[in-house]
Amino acid sequence: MSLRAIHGKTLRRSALVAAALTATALMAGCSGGSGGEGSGDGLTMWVRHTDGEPVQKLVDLWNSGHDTKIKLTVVPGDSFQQKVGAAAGSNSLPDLLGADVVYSPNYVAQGIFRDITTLADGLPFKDDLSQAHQEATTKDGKVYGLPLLVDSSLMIYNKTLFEQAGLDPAAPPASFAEIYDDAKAIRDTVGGDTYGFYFAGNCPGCLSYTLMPFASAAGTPVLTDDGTTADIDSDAMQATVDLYKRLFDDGIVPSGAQADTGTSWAAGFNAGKIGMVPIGTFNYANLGDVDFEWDVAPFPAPDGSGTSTFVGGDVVGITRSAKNVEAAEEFLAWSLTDEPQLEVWAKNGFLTPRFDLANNPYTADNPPVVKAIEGLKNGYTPATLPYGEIFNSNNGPWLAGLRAGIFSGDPDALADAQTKIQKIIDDAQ
Amino acid sequence: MSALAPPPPDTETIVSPRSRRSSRSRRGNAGWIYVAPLAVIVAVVFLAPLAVLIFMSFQDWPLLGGPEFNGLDNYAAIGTNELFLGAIGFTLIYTVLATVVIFLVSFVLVAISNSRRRGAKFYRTAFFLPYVVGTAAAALIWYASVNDQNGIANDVLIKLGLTDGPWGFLNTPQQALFTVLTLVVWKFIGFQVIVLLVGLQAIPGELYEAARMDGANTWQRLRYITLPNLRPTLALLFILSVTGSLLAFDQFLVLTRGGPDNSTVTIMFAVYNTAFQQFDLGKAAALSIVLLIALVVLNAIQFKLLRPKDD
Repeated sequence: MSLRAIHGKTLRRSALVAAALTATALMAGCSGGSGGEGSGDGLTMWVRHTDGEPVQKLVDLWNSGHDTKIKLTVVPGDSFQQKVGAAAGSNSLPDLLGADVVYSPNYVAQGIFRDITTLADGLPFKDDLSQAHQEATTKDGKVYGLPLLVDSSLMIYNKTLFEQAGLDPAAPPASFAEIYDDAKAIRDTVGGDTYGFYFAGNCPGCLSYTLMPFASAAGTPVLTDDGTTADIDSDAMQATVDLYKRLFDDGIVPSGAQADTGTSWAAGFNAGKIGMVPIGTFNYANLGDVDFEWDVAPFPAPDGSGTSTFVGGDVVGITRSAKNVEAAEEFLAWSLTDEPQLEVWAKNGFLTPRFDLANNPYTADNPPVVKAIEGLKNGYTPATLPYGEIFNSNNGPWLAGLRAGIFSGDPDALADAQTKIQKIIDDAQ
Repeated sequence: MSALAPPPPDTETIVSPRSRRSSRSRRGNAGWIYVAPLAVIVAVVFLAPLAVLIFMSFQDWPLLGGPEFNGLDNYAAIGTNELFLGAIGFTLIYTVLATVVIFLVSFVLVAISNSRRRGAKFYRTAFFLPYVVGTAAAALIWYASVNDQNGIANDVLIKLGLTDGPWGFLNTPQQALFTVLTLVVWKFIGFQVIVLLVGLQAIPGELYEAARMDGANTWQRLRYITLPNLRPTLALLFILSVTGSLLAFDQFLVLTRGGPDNSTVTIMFAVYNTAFQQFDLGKAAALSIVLLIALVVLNAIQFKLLRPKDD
């Protein structure tokens, strides 16, 4: 064969090899993710993680009695916003999205959820649903979501430790002075690796959930109802920061609290080593088998003049990327009927989003749940568009201000935080 | 990479200039076809996202909603992004510390692994193993280990009698930076050691023989033979270390989350924060473009300075 022909053959072969390689590479690259998460036959659902995974139980109950199956993905709380944001950007949201109630105003404003006003108005028990949850998902008279999970923050205290310290286990602290004295008594009497009080000092969400009620109990909530004005440096908030600082400096709180990002928030109390901890009803699920007696109390105003709680939880809605809207609406309506409300929520020690079912056989002989339900009438749910970046961000001004006040004793910490937070809120309107 | 040099004139096909030109151009064509798959991959994986990034930097894009053109506003806003500006200083400090410590420790480890003593092979493998663990996974291991209540690091320190209670690995900015540096050194030292070993073993042994015969001591051998021959290797490792440290992110997101009190926020962390906490893709893209330009300039300077001088 001539040299020329050999060169030509080499050229053709090279071209074929090159084309094959390119095609393989591109196919390997493109075979990954495709389109939206919503599938034709079943439904997909994302929800935030909650101890005890009640939503998994809810989905299991639905799947056992319906043809359209739901595939549930539980997302860790601190990556929830990022995951939803990324999915929204690529239009691959799941059919159903269970979102933290504090993020809902922003999601509704950005058009993440579909309009389900007709469905919501048609529900017979619409007026018995959590008001706070409904307000978070309503805009201009249209409804975009329904309550999924209701939890309430409160003080859980160890009655056994109270007795050991000579305190009355039926009389939880009702003012800041009593909180300090009771916690100190436990630390002084029992001591060792047992402490009087605990808080997760590097966890913005935990601190929002448990500190805001002190301010709302005093009548000065940190955010106005419409979410446009912040009141971070109120007297009540300053008193709260001072109390926490005193508890920490005097060794009544373990040193690990300063760096705790929330992973060990309940661990110490659940192991019987903490006298009292501001936490929420979601921890009930972890206290089933403990070997000490415990009870709950609402958060008091600094002078004991009132009590309050942060009513949080999740809302659920149908996203704009949903494929199977009819089945999704059926699920939403079903989730608020008696059977799932009682068998999933009440039976497992959770609050029921339907308040007309608050007195049911399961909760009747469960005093902590009964007290939590009673406390709901003084409930407070903050709402503002940039809630996540202010109050739930590790790098946000809320956590920075609290830490500067509690651990560094900075007297201007709350005032600085107020300026920064108000600016972010103003920019977002 | 520089463009393909023209192939040398073919000595086999002689004579007619016409056939020589066409054979050379055919070989050139074959070359382009072989490069094509890689070129396509580079275009898809690098150039297309870069174009999207540049597009994003001129939009007001709240992540959850859609993009709206807003000109140069995002670039103008960089001046008021406190988190980002503070991050620049911290990232530079971190880069200097990480590079210096990794270089020093790797020299010591290379000395241990380069000998023909028994166990040298074992050490080489042991030093390299951490490199194959993902950075995020390694950061999680560290996070669990330095926990005040149940972390193994504190247990070890207490048993050795070095501290009474938990040391507080992530409590202050200095301690957090120290903890991150231990993670980074542990993880990346293996790669550095292996590359240095390869570079060392490429130096001909005869040079050392000759030097020993001429009466050179260890220090002189190191200074006049080892270091000059290692120069390209050291330059490469230096550039990789600096660039990698400037882009550090995983360990700060998982281990310190930028804390305590925003004291360990790196540039990439600030970009991530802007995109996924403040939900502002446009501003984050503008920050990324600025960082990209800075890195290109920095690498160009480094290449110029560290290129071996042609004698």
